[in-house]
Amino acid sequence: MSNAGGTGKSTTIINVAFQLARLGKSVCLLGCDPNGSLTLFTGLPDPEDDANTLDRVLSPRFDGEWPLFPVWSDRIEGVDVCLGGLPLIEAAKRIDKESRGSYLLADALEDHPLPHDVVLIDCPGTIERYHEVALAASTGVLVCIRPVDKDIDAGFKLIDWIYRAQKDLRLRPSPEILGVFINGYRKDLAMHRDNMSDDPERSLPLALKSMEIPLFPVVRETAHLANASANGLPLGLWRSGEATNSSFKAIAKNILEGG
Amino acid sequence: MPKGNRRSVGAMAQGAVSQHKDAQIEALKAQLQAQQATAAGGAIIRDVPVDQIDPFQVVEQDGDLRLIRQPRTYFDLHRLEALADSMDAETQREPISLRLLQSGRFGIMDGERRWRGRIMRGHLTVKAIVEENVSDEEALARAITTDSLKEKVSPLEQTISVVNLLRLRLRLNEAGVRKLLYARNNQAIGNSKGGDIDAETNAVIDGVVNSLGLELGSLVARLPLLDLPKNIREQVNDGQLSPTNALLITRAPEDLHQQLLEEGGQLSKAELRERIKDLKAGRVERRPELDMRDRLHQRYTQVRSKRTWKKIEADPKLRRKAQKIELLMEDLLSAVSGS
Repeated sequence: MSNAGGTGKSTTIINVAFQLARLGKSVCLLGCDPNGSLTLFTGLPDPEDDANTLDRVLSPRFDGEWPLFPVWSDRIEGVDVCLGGLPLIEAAKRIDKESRGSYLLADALEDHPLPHDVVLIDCPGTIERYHEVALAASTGVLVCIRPVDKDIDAGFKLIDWIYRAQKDLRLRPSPEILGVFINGYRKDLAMHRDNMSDDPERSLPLALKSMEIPLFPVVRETAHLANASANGLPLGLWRSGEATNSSFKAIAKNILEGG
Repeated sequence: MPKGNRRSVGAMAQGAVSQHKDAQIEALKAQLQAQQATAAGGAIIRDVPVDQIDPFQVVEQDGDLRLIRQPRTYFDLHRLEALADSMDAETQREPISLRLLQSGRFGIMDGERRWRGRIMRGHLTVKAIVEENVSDEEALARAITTDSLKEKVSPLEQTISVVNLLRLRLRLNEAGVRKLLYARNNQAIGNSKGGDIDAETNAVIDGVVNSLGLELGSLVARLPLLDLPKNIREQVNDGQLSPTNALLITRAPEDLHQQLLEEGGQLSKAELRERIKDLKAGRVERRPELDMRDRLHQRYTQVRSKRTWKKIEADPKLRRKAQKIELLMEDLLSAVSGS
């Protein structure tokens, strides 16, 4: 989740999925975002109709037929995706009218469990109904932030919201905040450096530490990452030697330890 | 470059931090309830002889072997009596929580009042859950959290406990911890950049303060309570005197303490402040040894004060009186120079 656009949620999630698959786990990606960026990032064509997206799942009458597509199957096994996209805009209106609106995904997963070891949900850029839908279905939350004031401010608002929503939705057990993931760090920008320093006035790592929220290894801005995603590939398949891959691996391991 | 108003990360995180704190307290409460539930389920409760139990204590680390005061330093006799009575009637329901000490004896983590109640009524044993391998730090943290959750700790005891917990975590003496808390608070409210405290230490302080659901500012404001004279401290623990009033009294002249202590419990902060002012003024009037020269000087200073002078200037009657004084003084001075 994040509370600002362009923080690298979808990029992170596909790379974490790839690393999980490399660790021998089966992974299902759920595109809970009307922008449908998972479609682009996994190199799939746009879905033919609404029934081939998450729209089909988000209904009390869901028949259990998950519209899943395998990705990168020529290179690695075990990664499937259920796509988001424009149909989710209409679905959001429907969800508002359903008595168990926020719990539709949680219910679908309970009634028709996915066989995968790990399910990763990609949320929209700013807090909206789909965040509730995703939170109610989750065991853990990963927060993506770029090291700029706007994102950090919004990120803390997201964390604030998560605590509140856990109470409001009466989630038991409450999904845990697995950690914060910093994307797009640039050493040449003073604002980035300040926010990642140990200056108590500015330091994001210290603020997180006082709240006991883990911080994952920082990912520097690199053109390779954007290029890989644009080509529908995880960085591990695009440039397997890139150091950034180890950050995604760290998250993958953390998810496995937590779950 | 023009200076704008950049928000600090602390300000950004404020809402999230307070929600986090709430969630933590909820989790601790649930943990405590779960512990009590297993205890009630009869898992590992045993009867421990009351004379093999020590009240909470931790030995200081940095060389001098003074005992760190236990979290609960004060026991209300009436409440203890009531508890002992109720335990007579229905025997002890809730087991106390002990840890096995290196000496082979048992240390109390929670339930000191119940233990004292048992002794008071002449019981030889107390029902307890005993845990092994609990570190000093953990035991202190547990003792403080359970006490805070049960809301039976006075503000003074809470302050002592936090300072002690920080002493253990940071390996500092009491003065060092107090100095750090002041510095951290100055930093938090923006009075200084606080460059001399390292980030790790700050995180430890914030962690301890937050995890107990306290505010740094109010904690720091209570630090002077640690220096209260014994008689005043007892009244605070009793609940007869509020911490604020206690501090006001200690700052008043010492010969007024006894009288203020007798009256202080019933007065609000503002009332007490007025009372101290009156008493001080009264004391000055009564003081016989003040000679005429000093008295004159004192009156002159009072008349000359901005507030008084404003009133005199505004009122023609008062102005005439002041003129009379001026004439009298001139008379006096010319008489002196003539003689």
